[in-house]
Amino acid sequence: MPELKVNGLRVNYQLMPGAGAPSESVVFIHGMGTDSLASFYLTLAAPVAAAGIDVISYDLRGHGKSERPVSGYALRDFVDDLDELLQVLAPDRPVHLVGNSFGGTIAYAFAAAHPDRVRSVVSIESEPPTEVWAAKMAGILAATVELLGVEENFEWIEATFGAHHRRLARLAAARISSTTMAEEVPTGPMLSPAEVAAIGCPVLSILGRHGYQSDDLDALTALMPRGELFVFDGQGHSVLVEQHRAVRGLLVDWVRRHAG
Amino acid sequence: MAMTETDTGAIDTAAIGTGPIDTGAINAGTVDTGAVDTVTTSVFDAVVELIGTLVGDDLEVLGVQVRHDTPFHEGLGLESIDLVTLAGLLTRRFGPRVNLAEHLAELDLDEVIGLTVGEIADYVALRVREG
Repeated sequence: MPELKVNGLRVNYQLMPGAGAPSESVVFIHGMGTDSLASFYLTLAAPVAAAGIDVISYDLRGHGKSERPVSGYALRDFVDDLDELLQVLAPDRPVHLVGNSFGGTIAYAFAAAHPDRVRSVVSIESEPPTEVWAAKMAGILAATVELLGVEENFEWIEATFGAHHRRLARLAAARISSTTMAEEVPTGPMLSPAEVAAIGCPVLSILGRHGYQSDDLDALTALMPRGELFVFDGQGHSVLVEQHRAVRGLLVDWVRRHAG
Repeated sequence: MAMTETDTGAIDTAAIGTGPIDTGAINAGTVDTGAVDTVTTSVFDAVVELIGTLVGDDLEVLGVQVRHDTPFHEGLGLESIDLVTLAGLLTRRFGPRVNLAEHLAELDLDEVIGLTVGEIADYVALRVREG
């Protein structure tokens, strides 16, 4: 797969040109841990490209086939990577940022820092980088480190979720134990409520009723009163892979409604 | 700007072959099951060969017998990101009619997790037959 040198690191990316003569581009930003561009590539990329939208996907630093440095995992590092990537891959027009989980948080941070380069933000099971997010993220990461630090837990993971998830857990453990990812990610920098409210581009937030944002749904809605919200009832955090057909429809419609 | 483009085609296709397989045998006849079997077999062999490039070593040297029902992930120790690489290799080998991403986008998560080498080859063979 093609690579670019971004902030001194090798970053793996994929381009899928839209059918016809596309005027819009989406950038897929995946989540943390075991995630990679594959989760978007295998669900949304081809149908969205077939709908006439250019698709850019990439592996975050430390993930997929991108380089994995020991340190450098603060949110600002991910935002800087996206900045440099888009200077090469989408220099001529603003893009729609579509982020899953931690990828959505990167999208919000990028939109706040580079408002003229973002047409819209679509966040899937994610939220802006506020103090609330940081505390939640730190808790999730600490629990994950603890879980993956006990060898017997891998047996439990396989018995409960299957062999595939045991392999994923092994991968996550390797990434977390060999980097400062878990410590650095929650350090931000954070956006204040005023800075979140000042994000001027259209925002679509797609959530699971029982996902990671279920406990602060009202607060998030209040934080971005101009944003649109779509909630899947009976759905947990894995909205992207478990609801990908519905998300595809929402996304294509959204991009068409917010074309430049 | 600190970024420079280093590579737009990281995979050396010369090493794995870039020519499309000969589909003339099956395109020429309307009902010729022998020819279809030939296509199915040659496509399966090609898929196994490409998977060998993902694994990074000769599968035979590793003692891995890839069968029709070998699971892509569990059976070969590969990740979903390797499936993305394979999709690119298949398109290079067989042309844009083979769009594995488009095919997989219609599957559910458990179907993708349990995907076998044979299922991948069957999809490719179908698209090759359709021309």
